[in-house]
Amino acid sequence: MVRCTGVDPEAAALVDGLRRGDRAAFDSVFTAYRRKLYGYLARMTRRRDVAEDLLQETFLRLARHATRLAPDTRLAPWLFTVAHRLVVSWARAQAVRAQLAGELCGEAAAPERSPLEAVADSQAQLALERAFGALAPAYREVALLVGVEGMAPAEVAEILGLRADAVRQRLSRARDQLAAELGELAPARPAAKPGRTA
Amino acid sequence: MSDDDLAELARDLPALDIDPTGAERIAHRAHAALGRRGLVQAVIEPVLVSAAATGVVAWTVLEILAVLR
Repeated sequence: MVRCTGVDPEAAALVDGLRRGDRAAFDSVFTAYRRKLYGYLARMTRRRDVAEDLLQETFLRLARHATRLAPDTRLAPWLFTVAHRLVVSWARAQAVRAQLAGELCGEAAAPERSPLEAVADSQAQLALERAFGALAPAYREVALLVGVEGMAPAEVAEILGLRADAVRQRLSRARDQLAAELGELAPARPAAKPGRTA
Repeated sequence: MSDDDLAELARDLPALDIDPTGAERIAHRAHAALGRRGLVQAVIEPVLVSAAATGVVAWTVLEILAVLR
């Protein structure tokens, strides 16, 4: 699924271990990516129980697919691609469910603190969590992958199945919306720097 | 806001992690599934291949018998 020629030796060793069905290699991957994927899934679904289910499915797919991984597989994009597809499927199912129930679909903010906001230690963190939560899912996803995971737009484009310029456009809108949501809490530096490119 | 500002903001997001029991459960289930092929590969694929192979062999035998008669 996600392959390239420039894989670092440590990652290549993990992929090699996975291809042999080695539990220790799987555990290393699980430890390395569990929090990253859970954070992404929780912030995309806004529900910790769903995030846990999707995290499990992501790692089950890795386990089942392990012996068939290409030797040059890049694990982070591979895992985030699976997680992204699971989020998309979940969101579609949610939309259908909401439609059938005659409810208004969407992610309208709950009046009380969401489970994600409950972990915020400070007002600033709470405001930040709310600002990310207020972003449209398409913008939030790009902001999380670039901002939190430090991925390049080209890599994010590969994961989301988009063109890199579409990712950059979403990223730009996400930044603008975050700045508007955060107001004074947003970094004050001017947005004159060019966007990170692959 | 630049990409660096976004990264700076993202660093301040609260850390999220699954509870240890949930993590252990996922790891346990994944261990059981490690290297195990899915239903399509493990069951359906061999059945289809066997059926196709049997069909070809049967057809070949019938053709040979028809020629020999």
